[in-house]
Amino acid sequence: MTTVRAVIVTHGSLGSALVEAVARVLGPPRYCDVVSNEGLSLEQLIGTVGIHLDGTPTVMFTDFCGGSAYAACHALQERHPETAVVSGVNLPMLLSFFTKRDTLPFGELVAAVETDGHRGIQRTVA
Amino acid sequence: MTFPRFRKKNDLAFPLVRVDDRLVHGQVIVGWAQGLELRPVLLVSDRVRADPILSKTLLQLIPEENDGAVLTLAETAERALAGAYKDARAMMIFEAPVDVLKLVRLGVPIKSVTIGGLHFREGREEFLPYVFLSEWDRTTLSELRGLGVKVFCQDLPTTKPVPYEE
Repeated sequence: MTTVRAVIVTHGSLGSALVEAVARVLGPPRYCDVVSNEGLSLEQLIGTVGIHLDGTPTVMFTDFCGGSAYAACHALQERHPETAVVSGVNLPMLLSFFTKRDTLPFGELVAAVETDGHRGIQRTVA
Repeated sequence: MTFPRFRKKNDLAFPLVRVDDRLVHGQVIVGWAQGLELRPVLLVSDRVRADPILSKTLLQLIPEENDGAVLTLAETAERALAGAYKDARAMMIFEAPVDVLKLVRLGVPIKSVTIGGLHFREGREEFLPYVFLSEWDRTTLSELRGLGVKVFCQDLPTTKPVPYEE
């Protein structure tokens, strides 16, 4: 099974901070690229993220559904059927991705990552 | 309703015209379109209109209540001149200053333009950290000013507007 790649596309340095956090838990992840939207127009961002799509299965993670990172990934996904976009990236979601990507088929992996991202949001109230 | 600090409510001129090379994104939707209850929100770009995938993507980002549309310059002019936006709290988003000038030349009355973000690329120089302008952009903005259009720069609703002057 081909290892599914990750491209994490976020505002500012959120993506690299998340990968740093992943590295503390699982060690530095392979096949994982980070793109910041800092200083880039939508057209430039589409071009920059597109460089990281090599025709192999890839999940593009974005922070905010509605932002330029999401727009760029969504537009690319329409042209690259081997990819998927998951927004609202968080640490539980990435830990799920990196631990399951070699064991689940692509579609199931994307679904599991989304579910685990949701599961990571819990509330405790008095 | 949270109101951007840059203008008093009665100073707002519609359509609200924004130049932003990220087109539709968080600042535009959350800060402006939703904050000011704008509708319709028109993405005016011949390039985007000719790209069905990009049009679909960007339209999805505009909440239903803001009534988004992707239009060519000609379509926008035709509708505006027919009075379609006369009483509307409309917003028009453009990718480059030259498109605003083209719309003005097509006869659409525009009172002011806000440059919300023009990012660095070859041939553009920094005017503000979020506004990089080429010679061509500067000529275009001067021409707009000459036609009586006020030009401001402002990225976020909470930051102070900076008047553009040559």
